[in-house]
Amino acid sequence: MEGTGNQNQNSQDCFKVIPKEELKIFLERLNKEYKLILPTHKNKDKSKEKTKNNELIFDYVDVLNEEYEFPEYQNIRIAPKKFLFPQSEVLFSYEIEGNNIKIAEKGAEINNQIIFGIRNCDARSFKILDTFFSSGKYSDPYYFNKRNHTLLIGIACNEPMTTCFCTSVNGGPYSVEGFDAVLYELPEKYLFQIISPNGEKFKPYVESYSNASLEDLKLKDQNASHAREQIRVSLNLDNIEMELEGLYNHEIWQKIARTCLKCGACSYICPTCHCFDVQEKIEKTDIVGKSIGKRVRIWDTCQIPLFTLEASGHNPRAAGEKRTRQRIYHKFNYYLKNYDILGCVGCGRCIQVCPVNQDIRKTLVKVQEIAKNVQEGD
Amino acid sequence: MEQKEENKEIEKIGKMEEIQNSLKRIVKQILLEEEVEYVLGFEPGPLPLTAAPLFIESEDDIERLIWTDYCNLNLVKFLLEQPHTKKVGIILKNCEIHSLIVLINEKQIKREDVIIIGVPCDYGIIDLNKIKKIIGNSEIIKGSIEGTKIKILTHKEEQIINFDKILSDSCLFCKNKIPDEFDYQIEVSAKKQTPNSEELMKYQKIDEYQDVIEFEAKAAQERWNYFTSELEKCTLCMACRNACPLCYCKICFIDQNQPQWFDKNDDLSEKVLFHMTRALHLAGRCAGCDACSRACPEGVDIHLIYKKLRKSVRDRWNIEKVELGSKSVLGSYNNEDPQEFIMSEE
Ligand code: SF4
Ligand code: SF4
Ligand code: SF4
Ligand code: SF4
Repeated sequence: MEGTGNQNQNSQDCFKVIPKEELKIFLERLNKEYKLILPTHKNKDKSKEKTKNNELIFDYVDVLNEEYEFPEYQNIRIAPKKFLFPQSEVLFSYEIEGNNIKIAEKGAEINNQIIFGIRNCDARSFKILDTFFSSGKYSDPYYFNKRNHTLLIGIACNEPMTTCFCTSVNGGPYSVEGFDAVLYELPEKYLFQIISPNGEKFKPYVESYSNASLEDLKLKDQNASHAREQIRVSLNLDNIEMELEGLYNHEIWQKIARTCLKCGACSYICPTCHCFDVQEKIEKTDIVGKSIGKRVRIWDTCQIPLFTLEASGHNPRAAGEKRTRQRIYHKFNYYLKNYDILGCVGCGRCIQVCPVNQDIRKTLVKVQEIAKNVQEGD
Repeated sequence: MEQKEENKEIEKIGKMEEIQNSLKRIVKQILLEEEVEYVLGFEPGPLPLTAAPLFIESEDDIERLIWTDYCNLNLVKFLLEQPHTKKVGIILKNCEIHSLIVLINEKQIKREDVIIIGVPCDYGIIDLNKIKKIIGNSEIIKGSIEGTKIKILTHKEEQIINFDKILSDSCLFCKNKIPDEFDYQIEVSAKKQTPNSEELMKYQKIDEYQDVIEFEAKAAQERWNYFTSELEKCTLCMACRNACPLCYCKICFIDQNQPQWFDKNDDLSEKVLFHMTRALHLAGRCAGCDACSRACPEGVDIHLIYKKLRKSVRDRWNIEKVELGSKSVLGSYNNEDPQEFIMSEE
C-alpha cells in the first residue's frame, strides 16, 4: 500500500489537506458525534487536575475543555487495547437472597468512539483481537460491543522507535492496514485519507478541505521511505512457523527462561495478548445468606504458573521454560496454524518494558539460527 | 538480524572499565580453578543504559561481561531459580550480598555453595524509572555517563542530569558501599578518578532514613494520598515480587487459590492488599537493594514502604543489617524485645 503504484489509492483527491491550525476545529466537529480517545497528559484523577501526568496516555478527552497532545511524537507506552479489552471488566453483577437471585447484566451499548492517533501496529493488533474474540462458535459480546462502535483514525509513523520491528511482521510505519482513516504529518499540515468502508463516515467532515498537491504527495512518500529506514532490525519470518516446529524440546527455551522473571509485564503491555481469567468479586455477604457480588473478567498471563494450574494440583507448565516457550509459540506458531496470521505486530513494547531486558527480536534470531543448524544437520 | 549502525555506545570512564577488567580476570580464574557451574554477571541489554543477566559458563562468555552503573537487578534472584549440581559464582554489590546472607540464614542456600565476588559501589545504581520520569515520553536514544552526570539524548533534546536525581534511592543514602562478605573482592584505587558532586555529598552526611523521617512527619491523609496515587499505577504484573530475591515462597499468597486470598482485580484495594502483605513478609528480612522498585515497569514508588520497614527494625532492635549466622529478627524472641503493642499504657 505504500509508494505510488496504485493510481486509485494515490490520486490527489484521495488526500485532503488539513492545515495544522485547523486540526482542533476538525476534532471539535468529530467530538459532536463521537467520543474521542486521544493522547493526553491529563491526569485521570480529578483531584490532581493541576498536576500534569508526565507520561502521555491514551484517554477520553473532551476536546472543547481538555488538553490533548497531537501529534504525539512516538508511539504511546500503553497500547489502546484497554479501551476494548480492559484489565478488569464486570460481566454481570448479582444479588442472592435465599433462592432469590437477581442478575444485572452490564449495559451493552456504548457510544460511538474514535481512537485518534493510533499507530499502525496497534490498529493491526485489533485485527488479531477480532480474530481471537470471534473464533469458534461464539463471538465475544463484551469485546464486540465496544469494537463495533470504535473507529480508528491512525497517524503514519514518521519517527519509529528503536524497538519497532513492524516491517518484520507484515506491518510498517506507513502501512494503513486496520485503519478506517489515516493522517500523514507534513510540515504545517496533515493529509487525511479514508481507508476502510467504515471510514467513509468521515467524508462529510473533510469534504471542504482542498486536495493534496503533487508536492505534498511526494513529501509524504519521502517521509515513508525515511521512516522505513529508521527501523533498524529486519527479520525474515516467512518460515517461522516451520522453524519453530522442530524446536519444541530444544534447550534454547531453558537458556532464555533462566534470565526471565516470569512476571506479567510483557504480556500485560502487549497489544495482542488477550488471555483472561474470570473471577468472582463478592462485595458483601451477611449471616442470613444475602450476598452481593459481581463477576469480573481480568487480564491473565501465560507467564505465571497459576495460568495452567489444574484443580488436581498438576501443572503442565510448571517449569519456566515451558512458559517462555508458550509465549513465542503462541505468537509465531499456533496463531499461524489456527488463524493464518502472526500474533505479534512488532510494536516492541515488550522490549521496552521487560525488567531483565529480554528482547523478542533476539529470541527470534536465535530460533532461526538454531532451526537452520538443525536443518543443515539433517 | 541486520543491525544498522548502533548509536547507543555508552561512554565508559576509567573506573568502571577497571572494575570490569578485574572482574573478567577473576571470573576466568574461577572458571579455571574452581568447580563452578557458572558465574552470574551482566551483559549489555538491548537498549541504552540497560544490562541483562548473564550466565557465564565458559571462557567464551567472559567477553560479554560488563560492569556499569546500570546493572540494576539483584542477581541473587537467579541463584534461587536454578537447580544446582555444583558451586556457582556470583558478582554482587554490598546490599545484594546482604540479601544473599538472609537466604543463607534462612537455609535456602549454603554459604559454601556460592562464590561471592564482591564489588564496591562507586555512587550506586542508576534508576531508569527516575530518568523516564524526568524525560517523560521520549525514548532514550543514547546515554553516556561522565563523572556524576548523565547525558541523555532523546529525539527532542539532549539533557544532562546530575546523579542525585537519578540514583536509586537505596544508593543515594547508602553508607556501606564496601562488601562485608565475599570470597573475591575487587580492589578499587583509593583515589577516585571523578570527584564526588556536592549534591551527592549532601546525602552522605544525613541519616540514612531521612526521607522516611520526613515522610512520617506528614499528615496521615497526605501519606495515604501519596501511597494510593502511586499504587494506583500498579498493574499487578508482579515484576517487583519476582525481582526480589527474598520472595521465594513456592506458592505466593497472591497465587494461592485454594483458599483464595486475592481476587486479582485491577482495583486499589487489591493493590494495597498485595503491597502491604508483601511488605509484612519482608519485615526484618528486606536488605534494601531496591531491585523491586527498579524492576517496576510502571515506575511505582514502592521503596518507601520497604525503607520504613527497615527503619522500624533499626529503631526497635537496633539492627542495621542482617549478619551472617544471626537469628531472624522477627522469627526469634528476646525478653528485652519491645512489646508495647501487647501491653499498652493507653
Ligand atoms: S520476558 Fe521480561 S517481562 Fe516477560 S515475563 Fe520475563 S522478565 Fe517478565
Ligand atoms: S510480542 Fe512484543 S513486539 Fe510483539 S506485539 Fe506483543 S508487545 Fe509488541
Ligand atoms: S523487598 Fe525490594 S529492597 Fe527489599 S530485598 Fe526485596 S528487592 Fe530488595
Ligand atoms: S512491578 Fe510495579 S506494576 Fe508490577 S506489581 Fe510491582 S508495583 Fe505493581
